[in-house]
Formats: sequence, C-alpha cells, structure tokens
Amino acid sequence: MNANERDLEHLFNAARVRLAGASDAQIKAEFYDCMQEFLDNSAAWTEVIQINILPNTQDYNVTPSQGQIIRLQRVVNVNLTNQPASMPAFDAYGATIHFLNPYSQNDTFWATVVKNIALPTGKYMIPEMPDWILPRFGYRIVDGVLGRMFNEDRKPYANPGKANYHLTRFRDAIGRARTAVLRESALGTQRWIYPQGFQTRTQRGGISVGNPNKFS
Amino acid sequence: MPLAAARYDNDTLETVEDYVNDARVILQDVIPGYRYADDELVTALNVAFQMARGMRADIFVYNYGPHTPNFLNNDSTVVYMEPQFRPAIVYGMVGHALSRDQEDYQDARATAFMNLMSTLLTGRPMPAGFAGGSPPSGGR
Repeated sequence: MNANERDLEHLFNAARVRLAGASDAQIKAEFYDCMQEFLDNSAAWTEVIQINILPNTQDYNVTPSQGQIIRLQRVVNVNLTNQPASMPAFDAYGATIHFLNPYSQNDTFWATVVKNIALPTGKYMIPEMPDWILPRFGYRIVDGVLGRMFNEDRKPYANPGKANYHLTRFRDAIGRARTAVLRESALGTQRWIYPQGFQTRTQRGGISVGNPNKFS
Repeated sequence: MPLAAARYDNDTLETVEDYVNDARVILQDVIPGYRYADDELVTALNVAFQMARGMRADIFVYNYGPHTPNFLNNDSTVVYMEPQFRPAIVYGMVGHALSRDQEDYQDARATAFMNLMSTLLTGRPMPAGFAGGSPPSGGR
C-alpha cells in the first residue's frame, strides 16, 4: 500500500504550474514537510497493533507496518475496554507502550497508534504513505506546498499574499481532516459525542467482564 | 551521484562539453585557436555554479548535499541540473568569461548576462554590474 504515482504527479503538476522557476526537488521536499505537518496535526493515519500481554510485564515494543509512530491513541482489551497505558519512549520507527500496572495472566490487547511519514524516502524522494491520503486530501495538501513555497524570499515565485491564502486553506484542511477522523468519517453525526476512547460498557467503571451485555 | 537521482528526459546541456560548446556559440568563439580556452570556460562553469549555489541552494542541496559541483575538464561528465535552470548556468558562464575583458562594451554584455542569470534564478537582476575601465569621455 503506497501512494499512487498518478495522484503524486497530479499534486506535483498542480504545484509546478503555479510555481514558475521552482525546482522539482524542493517541491518534493516541501511536500514531505507538509505531509508531516498534516498527519501530525490531524492524526489521520492510524494503525491497530496487536500486543500479546505477558504476566508481570509492563513494557512492550511495537513497530508499525509503515511510517513511524508518533502518538498512542488507546489500548483496548477483547471487551473494548480501555487499558491505562502510555508511550514513554520512541525509536526510529516504533515505540514502547508502558502499562500502568502489570497483568497477572496472558492476554491480547490492541493498541491504536497515530503514525506519520518517515525518512528514508524512496528513490525519487517520496515517502511511504497510505494510498487513500492523496485521493482524500491531496487537493488541500497542495495548498500547504504552495503556501510554503510562496512564502520564500528572493525566489521568482515568492508571493506573501498568496502564501497567506494557501497556508490558511491548508490549516483549515488539517482541522477538517481531524474532525473527520474523530467522527470516523460519518456524515451527519452530531458534532460531539462522548469520547469513545473513554466509554465503558458496564456500570462497573470499565472493569473487564466476560459478557458485555449483562452481568453473569 | 545526486541524492535525488532524478532522471531528466532532456539531454540539452547535459554534459560539461555541452555547456562549453553552447557558451562558445554565445561568445562567438567557435573557430579553433579559441579566444577562451577550454580550461577557462570550465572554470567559468564552476564559478557559475558557485554563484547559482549562493542564489538558489534548493537547486543543489537535494542533488549534491552540502557540496557544489566542480568540474575539471571539458569532457562528457554529466552535469546534474534540472532542465529549467540550465540556460541560467550558461548565461553565468558567458558573463563570467566576458567579465575579464576591459572594454566597456564587453562589460555591459557581461553585466547583461549576469543579470539574465540572476533573473532566471531569483526573479530579479544582480544588485551591481561590471564597470568599465576606460577614461571619461573627452579625456586623453
């Protein structure tokens, strides 16, 4: 799963025609920085990683399939109950998940992590990224590229007015993406629902039970 | 080998030899027994790259890292440069080659070519040009 070359070329061409005298290499470099900012602020790219819990062990290293982990969203057990955990340490691409309390028996949890793109990029300076990012948000990510390039000094394409316009659109796009992620892309849902990361299915304050529908 | 390893589908002005030959055409120095020797034009090419590096680091850092390319001979060594910036390098070469002449006319041409290079790379001419060494009019 990687960005479609046609989507990339469409984005780059949109930038090339508006940035007279710009170098291709810099457009790609600015694209990388824009993607980093977009994914960091919107938390749009997530992955669910399975963790095999061992008795009396609190720290677990997790590695994503693509990109790098930047944040822990939540950890749930089989009953979809949140487990108290943090992410105190990172390495080049993965991270360490630390559970507040050790567990006394084997179990299986699922950690949802927020990811970002990472170096090294491919041969033509394109990082690994999910194939749905550009079809969904590419038309606004190009605003980030244009805004950053227009904002440069002593370049044939420098234009502070246009820079302000495009950067405003880019920040707006980040906000919309963030909202879409929070609503899980559901149209027409209410603006706010109880944060699902904190929901409990029983009245027992989130203590794991065997049957989520009734007390047994 | 450039870091970006970009493959350009345009082979005009691709090698050192191409740059030198094109500069000779503009300098009107195409008959052997050249006014501008090969090594002088290769030096002009290197100087043009240095000037371009100062104006537009983005053209270089993704292909050459912190280094500026330096060429030794008029040969078929490939010059990694995006096609849209190659004419600016040629104009820089010509401007530098012309700047060694002491005639007012050549200084004006040198300034014009330098400004052309600067305009192509930065959108504005260079802040100062070459001044001639001739005496004021009416003087002996």
